[in-house]
Amino acid sequence: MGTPALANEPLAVGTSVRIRTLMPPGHVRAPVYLRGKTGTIERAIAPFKNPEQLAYGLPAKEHMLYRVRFGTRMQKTLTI
Amino acid sequence: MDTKTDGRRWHDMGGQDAGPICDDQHDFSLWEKRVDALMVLCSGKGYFTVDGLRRVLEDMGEEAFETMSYYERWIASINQNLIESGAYTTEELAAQMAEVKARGATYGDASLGK
Amino acid sequence: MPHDHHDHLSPSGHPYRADDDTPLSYWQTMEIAVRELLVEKDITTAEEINAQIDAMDARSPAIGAAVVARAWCDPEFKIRLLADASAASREMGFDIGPMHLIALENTADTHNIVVCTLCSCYPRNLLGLPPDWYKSRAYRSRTVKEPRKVLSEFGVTLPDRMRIRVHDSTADMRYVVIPMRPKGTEDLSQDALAALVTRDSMIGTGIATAPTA
Repeated sequence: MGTPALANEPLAVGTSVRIRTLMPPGHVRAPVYLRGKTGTIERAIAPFKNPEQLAYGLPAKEHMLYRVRFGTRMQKTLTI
Repeated sequence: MDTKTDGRRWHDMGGQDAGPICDDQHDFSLWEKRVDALMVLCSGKGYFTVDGLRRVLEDMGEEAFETMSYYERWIASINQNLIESGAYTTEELAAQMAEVKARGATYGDASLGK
Repeated sequence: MPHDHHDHLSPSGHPYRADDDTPLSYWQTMEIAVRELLVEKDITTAEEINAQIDAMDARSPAIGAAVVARAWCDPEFKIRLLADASAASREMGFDIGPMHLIALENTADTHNIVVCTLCSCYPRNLLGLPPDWYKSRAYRSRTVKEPRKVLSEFGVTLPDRMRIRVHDSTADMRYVVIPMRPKGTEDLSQDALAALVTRDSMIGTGIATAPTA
């Protein structure tokens, strides 16, 4: 459920992103309350191995980890 | 895994209604600190990851969350992860648990004071 | 020797639980058995386990409070802390291990509060082990939905004009809140300031204590 593995530039600060509404079972780190919601990239942090694969002891690809800001007056910030 | 029909898993709690927040806190007993230490050490040594710890905790289901304490769930998860990684077998664990239990009725007696 | 804490108070001021006398439970049996198997198989040692327990015992809100107090006193340090809180904590000599940390600054118009909705992620290598309420269903569920109400249950009432930012630590980052420096503290030493910084103020469910007259 994380952002796709990036071969090129990370997403720029301020880029609008929407969390996919897919609802698979298993170890998924995008919480349901944010699926389908649109936020903006607050910062790119660093590449991290995908926890959704590490959880099963599988070799894991690195994805860029982002802080994403949602909402206006009450802002929620999710690290995805 | 107990996935509700809308796809939300039980542990995915954000945004749900819930009761008042109780000011629960307690100091951790030695056995709990040992559980915590085992998690840090075994994950540091590559037997499993904190993600694997979480995945097993999630798969243990909601009833475990409601009926077991935090570190009871952690030792259950650590054990599951260690068995999955081949650190020891279920049979070895069973034998060791039987030996421990036979030592006495209190934690002190069973842990040989070590 | 048994780990006998009967006469001592733990760092947080609570008495240790006398677990040596408690009736052995199934899960305690498992803990002992797992630990002994791991030692038998040379995966770890009793010394290593005890050292890790001691390392974790040494981590407490006092560490976070020292970082906050320095940030209040030293604007250059605060800039470094906000840029890279892991590096800044290490710069002060604290062993936070591999933890990735982001510091969130409370201001006159913004109050930050941290939660982990999916599990219980917490900056434990800075603040020590989290309180039970942080891991509870109620806190994990309601903080993202009604933070103002949650704050009022913690005794924190904020003006309506203040913005509340809720940070959900669902991945590899951990968060620490830098509470606002209380008024009337201009003459206090850094150590005296650190004493005003509560654990809850670094989670965002509290504010720093006002100085006593």
